[in-house]
Amino acid sequence: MGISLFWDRHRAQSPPPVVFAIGQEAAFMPLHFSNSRHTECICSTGVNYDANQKFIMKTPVHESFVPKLACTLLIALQIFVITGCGPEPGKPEQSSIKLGAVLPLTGDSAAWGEQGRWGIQYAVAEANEKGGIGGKKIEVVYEDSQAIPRLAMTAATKLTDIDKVPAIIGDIVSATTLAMAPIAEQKKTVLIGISCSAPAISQAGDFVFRVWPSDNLEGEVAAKWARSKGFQKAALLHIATDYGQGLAAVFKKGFEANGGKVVSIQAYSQDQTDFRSNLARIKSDSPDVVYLISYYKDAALVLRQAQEVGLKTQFLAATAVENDDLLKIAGNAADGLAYPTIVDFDADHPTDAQREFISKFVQLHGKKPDWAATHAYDAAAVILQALQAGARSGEDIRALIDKKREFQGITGTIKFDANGDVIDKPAVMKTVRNGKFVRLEP
Amino acid sequence: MLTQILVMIVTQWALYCLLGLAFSLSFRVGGFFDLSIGAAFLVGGYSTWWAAQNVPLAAAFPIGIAIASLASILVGLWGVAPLASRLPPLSMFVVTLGLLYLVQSLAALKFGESAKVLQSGPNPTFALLSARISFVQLALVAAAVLVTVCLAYILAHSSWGRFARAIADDRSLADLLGVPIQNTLLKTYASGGLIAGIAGSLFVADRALDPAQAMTVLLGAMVAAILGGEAILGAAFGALVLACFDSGLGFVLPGFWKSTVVFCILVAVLAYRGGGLFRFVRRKL
Repeated sequence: MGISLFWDRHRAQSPPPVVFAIGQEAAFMPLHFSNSRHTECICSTGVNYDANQKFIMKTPVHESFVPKLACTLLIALQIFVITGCGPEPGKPEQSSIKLGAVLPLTGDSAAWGEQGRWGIQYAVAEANEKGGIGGKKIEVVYEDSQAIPRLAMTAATKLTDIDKVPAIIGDIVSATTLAMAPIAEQKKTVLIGISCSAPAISQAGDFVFRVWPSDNLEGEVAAKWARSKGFQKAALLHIATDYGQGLAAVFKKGFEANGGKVVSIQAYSQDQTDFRSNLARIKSDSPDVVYLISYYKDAALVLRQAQEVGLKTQFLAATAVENDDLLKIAGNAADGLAYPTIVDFDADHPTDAQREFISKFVQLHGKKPDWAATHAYDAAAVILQALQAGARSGEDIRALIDKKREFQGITGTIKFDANGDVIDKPAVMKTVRNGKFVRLEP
Repeated sequence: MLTQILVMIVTQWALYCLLGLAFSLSFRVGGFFDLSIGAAFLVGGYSTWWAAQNVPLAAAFPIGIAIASLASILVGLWGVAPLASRLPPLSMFVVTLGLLYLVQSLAALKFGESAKVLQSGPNPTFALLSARISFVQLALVAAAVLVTVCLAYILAHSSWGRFARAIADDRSLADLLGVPIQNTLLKTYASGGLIAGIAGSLFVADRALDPAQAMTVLLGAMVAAILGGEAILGAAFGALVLACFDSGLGFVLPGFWKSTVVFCILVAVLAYRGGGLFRFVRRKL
């Protein structure tokens, strides 16, 4: 009320050129000075008005400067952190060919995302060192999916609509690849999966390819191995995603077709960290083997917690567990874990071509490449070879892959079937022994 | 089997209880959704992990908790407490969300995205009737009981406790009666940070910590605090209800259904009792 009287007094006299307002009354200043054409009001609310109700952004007066300054600095610092502390080096050149890559660069699967990015960078660097494609450098726009389908869809939309890329390399996990597939189909952009293995990807569309075999193969190999070891009763603990459900169905079918019985199926959510209730339930069902379909972090926690609740059954897992972080987290609880791997790359048993790749990779990143790096390299290599052959648009690349069907990668020859699935990959069983991933003798 | 289920319910209660109490302090006293509890949780967890790389394990816990508390005091002093006494709840929600994202980003930059564990391999366990429980789980339960009892005592008998309850009851009236709002909010915020720091410190020992964990555990804390009713300590009861469903449902439902069922229960409870399950506690604390 007092402030209103103040306004009235000033309105009666000649209006002042500038009025500062502090507090809630600031919001009413445009009303009080609606007849004045020249009074500028500076409010503590952060938005300033002139008498004609036009916004004027000026430095506002603060009731308490320090908290707002702290808040502003906080937001600025956050933007600074999120954007990677400054502009990215190497701005897009007009004379370059842009490709997209969607990987889990942060989140639970970030270790794969990092390896995948390094694999793509390696392949692209090789191409650029040879002069690029048709004299143009290759540039890759990386987007982070965090292995979350919603984010992958946003990333794919950005890459197709804004960056206009003809092909997207990724993702590493099935759920995100399946989420991006309809966008790739609609925008006629090739989507080439790195290690996504859900059987549903085979039917995801004409523009969808992958350089990792379908789980139909991995699930069958795991089921056959379990039966060959004489395990009668199996329990399944799987992540509740397309990947987990798909592989669980394949394993169950294969295990029961070979005379075994699945006594328990437990699904867990992607953000779960406490598996003790699932494990206690499995323990009560007394299986001979537990087939664990999960990523490495979840698998490590499951193995740790299984020992903590006294579950001492043989664990059989999916290829996705092969990561050094599994060994770091699970420690000796990982010993004895068996898993099939359907790849023709093993850093401990490399071919001559792979030996050079491993050596350079270690020099660059201080780490050995894993399957994520090699298959990301392969996915990039397929696209680069298609570009080299003259394809430029998504439709051209798709047509060329469909026609050629065979490409060369670091894992050897990459052969695609009519569904865009890679075929003719060898399978081996591996285990963890003394803190290392080693091959199981047949 | 039944003993193992009870062990899991109690250990899950301990985690929800600690975070629920931390959240409830800001929620009931400050009147806003304090997502920076998740930030204090991360600071506690990562500080303990970092300390464990340099000092013996037993010393890592107090160091981690102390760093989380100190960070909460500084952030409370320079940011949250002054802002909370002026800004509307929605603005505070955004401010604390910003703090959470900032800490998540800094943690990812400094320590990487990969999950951190205090020590490799399973934690040592002992038999409790027919169940097995790890020493870390035992410490988590002990911490939750201790924090609940201490908080109940402090809220009932200290001047800060009386002021906090007065503000929680009626902030305008408390202000008129001369209750030091900003000072009380600062102490409340710092206490919440301390409790969340303890939770983070024990979480990294029991499971594995990565930056994304904060939001997941915070969700449980919010549900516990809201289920618990209008009293600050109601969160401890809300956490028990949540833990019963969370761990108990693991035996009858697939894991991915647990959250759905828990939130359906929350909606049903709030529809039936808008103030939460345990309104009676308010008269005491």
